[in-house]
Amino acid sequence: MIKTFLCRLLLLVNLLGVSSIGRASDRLESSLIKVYSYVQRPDFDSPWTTKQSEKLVHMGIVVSDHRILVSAYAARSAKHFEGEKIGDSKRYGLKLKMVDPVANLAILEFSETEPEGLSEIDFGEDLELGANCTIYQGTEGESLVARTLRLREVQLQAGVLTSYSLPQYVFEIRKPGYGWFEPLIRNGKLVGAAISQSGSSVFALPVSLIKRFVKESESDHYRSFPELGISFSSLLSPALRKYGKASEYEEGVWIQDIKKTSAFAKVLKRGDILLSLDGTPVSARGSYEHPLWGRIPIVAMMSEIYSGDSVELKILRGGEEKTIVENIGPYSPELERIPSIIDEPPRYTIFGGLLIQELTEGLLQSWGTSWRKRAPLPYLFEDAFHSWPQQGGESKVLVLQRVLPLDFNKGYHSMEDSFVTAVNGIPVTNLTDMAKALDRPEKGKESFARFQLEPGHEEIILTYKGIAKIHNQLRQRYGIPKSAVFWEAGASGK
Amino acid sequence: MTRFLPFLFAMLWMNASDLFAVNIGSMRKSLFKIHVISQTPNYEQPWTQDPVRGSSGTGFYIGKEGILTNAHVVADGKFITVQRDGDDKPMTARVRYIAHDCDLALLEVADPNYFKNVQALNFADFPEVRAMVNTVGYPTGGEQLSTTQGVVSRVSYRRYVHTGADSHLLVQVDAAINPGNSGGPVIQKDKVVGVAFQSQSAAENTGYIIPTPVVRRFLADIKDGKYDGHPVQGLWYMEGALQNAATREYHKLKKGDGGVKVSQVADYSPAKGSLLTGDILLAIEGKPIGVDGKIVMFNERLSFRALYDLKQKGDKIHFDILRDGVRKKVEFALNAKGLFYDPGLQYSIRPRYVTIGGLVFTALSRNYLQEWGKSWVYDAPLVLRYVQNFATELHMFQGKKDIVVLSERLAHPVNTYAGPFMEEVLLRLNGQEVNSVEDIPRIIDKEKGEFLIFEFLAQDTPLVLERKAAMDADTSILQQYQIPLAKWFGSNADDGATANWEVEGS
Repeated sequence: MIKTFLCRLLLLVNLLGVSSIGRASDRLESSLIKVYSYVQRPDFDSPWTTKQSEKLVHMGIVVSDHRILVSAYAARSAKHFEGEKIGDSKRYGLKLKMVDPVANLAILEFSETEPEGLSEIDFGEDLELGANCTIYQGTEGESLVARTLRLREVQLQAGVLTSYSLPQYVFEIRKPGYGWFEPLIRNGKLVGAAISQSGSSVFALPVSLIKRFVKESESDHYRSFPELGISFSSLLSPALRKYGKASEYEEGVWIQDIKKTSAFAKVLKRGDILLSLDGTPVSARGSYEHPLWGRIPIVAMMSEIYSGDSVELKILRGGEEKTIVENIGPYSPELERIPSIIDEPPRYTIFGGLLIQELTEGLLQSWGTSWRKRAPLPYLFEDAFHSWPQQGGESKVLVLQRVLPLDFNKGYHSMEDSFVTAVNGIPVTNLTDMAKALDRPEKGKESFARFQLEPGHEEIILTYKGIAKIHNQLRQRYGIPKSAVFWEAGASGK
Repeated sequence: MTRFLPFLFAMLWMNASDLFAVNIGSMRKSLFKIHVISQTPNYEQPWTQDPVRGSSGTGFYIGKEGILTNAHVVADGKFITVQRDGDDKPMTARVRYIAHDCDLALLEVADPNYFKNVQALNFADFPEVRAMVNTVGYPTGGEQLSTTQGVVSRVSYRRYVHTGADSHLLVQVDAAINPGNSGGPVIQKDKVVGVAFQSQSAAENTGYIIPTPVVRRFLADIKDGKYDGHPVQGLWYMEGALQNAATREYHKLKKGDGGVKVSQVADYSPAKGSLLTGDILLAIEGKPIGVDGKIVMFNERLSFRALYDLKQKGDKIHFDILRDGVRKKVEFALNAKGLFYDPGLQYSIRPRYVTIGGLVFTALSRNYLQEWGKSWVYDAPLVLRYVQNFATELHMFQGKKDIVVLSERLAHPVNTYAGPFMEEVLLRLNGQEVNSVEDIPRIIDKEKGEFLIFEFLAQDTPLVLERKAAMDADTSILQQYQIPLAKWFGSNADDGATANWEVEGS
């Protein structure tokens, strides 16, 4: 009752204070930049080249020292940036200062001159569930378009560029065209920025994550988001609880798997029960009570922890409680067995027309929007169930993507989309291994290179004789640039 | 890759032109219209059946064996009648032998005198390519017998759609084919050269017939009173690899040598132990194999598999091979369907299943996957799609008779938290390997512990039930959901054709 009264009172004040609102909007305009990025994404089919350049128009937010904050998605693969102040058609050059694909945030700087009258945005605090804010969209016109939103829920969602999950605001906007880093403003202060839209849901990063990134970007030792590296399932079933000797407890989740690169890899076991993280109890569904957002997955706590911090886990093993403390490392998408940064240029090597690539999330997504259905089944299976690092993280999934046909590789022209598991009889899990193995032909068969393929058990046998000449022919016939990666004898020793 | 979109047609080629019609007068009495009432089991709820439907096809008398038709005409048949051309009365029939893998079936009738004065149609060896053939049968849209003429356009070794997974020799005919005609004879001069059975929906004027060699193999197979099936292969090779100059040199092939390289031999293959990965198959039964894997057979170039496929269980086959630079002869005996996952469509009275604590476990099959609709290849759960595609090749699935899937949860307090395990593949129960649906009760019967612990593929958390509570709940769950049988493991006659005539006094 009192709350509604207060709201009405505020509304009244607002109506009376139109001119002051106008001034606030002017001030906001001085803290926003319309950014034009010219992005060239990798072409996974022909990894020596890139896709046609596309122009992305998105918002930039002015932070300390007149640096411009944008989303990493629009900045990471950009070759050129231009910025425009709202209401001013002059374009200014911008350059990339730093980018964190895990946070999906990047910082740009004006390369020479900058527009006049820029002012740093004020950071607000994270929104509470149900709270209102305003999203501002920079349109083709010269002014901002505002829309009032209400925070519907907070979800733990994979970032746009990597599979690392961050807590994100979810708003409902039926109109498409959002998710281009539009600022969310409440009481003249920044409370978040939109990073994606799916159907009528717009996802936005809460300001706490943005503040954290901006602050870290000013430091000499940038600390990214840490990796817990544990997967778990709910422990709601009383039978499973009894079996796991957790009957006397009401909380805790069943630890399913531990990443080899996790700080806890050596101390945790499958089937351990995670009871609490840094003193916060984990419910049987794997959630915790967030002061603003209600019950959200426990993994969301990672966004409040910095890489290098020590993390305390309380676990239950065989009915006995244990406390484990470890210093936790950063999440590194490139250490995944199937690296999860979608716009990372592909790593590949061409040998005698065999185009061999390390399998990545980007390559999988090159099967289009329904890639989860259309990509080759063995790839999808590895991605769904074996994407986590094995051993140190250097082991990857090597795939024969296709064969560039020449007489030299006749007989194998239709081979595609298979795993390359061994070369010259030596097991290989990445391109470096493969280069080494190619430098070590089999005894008595020195002039042949032998590639083992799975899951079909096929093998491809080609010769080293005249391979340099063959590579020249491939460059000519298929218009492959000099910069493309062809195998060279002895290169693995360099 | 072009997609082959065949469909079964249940009767006859229409639009016979008088100019090309053959004189089938003497054959008329040997032709039968087959009416079938069938019911297909529901794979989602294996104790139930889909609605009854009626269909018809064609068959022809081939002598003491009875009436030959397609397996798909009579599959899942609950009541079958045959009607001779010109007769007014349909006669109740039943399936004597059914061969789903090659889509053939033999029917018999109760009255031994029914075939008196009926002339058996004779088979010719093999149709000549580019020669005219006539197809005879009963099309939809009319009662009368109809004939159509076409030209034999090619011979190949490819997939039969009835199971969707078995390939055999077949003959393609260019003729306007309308849905209908399955099981009808294809005649050249006055002899049968094949059985009409499928067409291609993506191309007009394309029909397929089962040629004489496949029919004869079927008739020889059943001579001992039992249908064994086409020999198991479980053998994969790399087509074309030996075109490559470096590869030829590596394997020390001589000029003029052809051959294909073996990539994989399954554990269940009769070639296991005789052929190895990396062997080069130079010849089969003395016939040289080309680098494309083809041999000369019936004056055509056909996959060497076509020759292998026409053998019987127990027959010996021999290959000339090249292994590590040494030429050898190997010989091994062929076997028929064994204990391994069959990716083809199944035809059984009821899918095999077992319920425990309200959880229904069934055997994965193509039929089960088709519950995800026409594009199940893309829409079914990833794990099941993967297993369907690779079970015959991947080591972890070899030696398994069934891929056991948790298909349904009959909700009850004992299984409340089983939701996340639906459609998952069961690997172990209380630490023991589950290699068939039958293994589940076998393991449970011996179990005395507190829990039942189900471990699934691609699920790191086990599904745990309290054993006693789950067992005690079984009876009430079956009653509550009106499930007639707690389990069904098939019967000896479980070939999906139960039609019979009523025998007095039985």
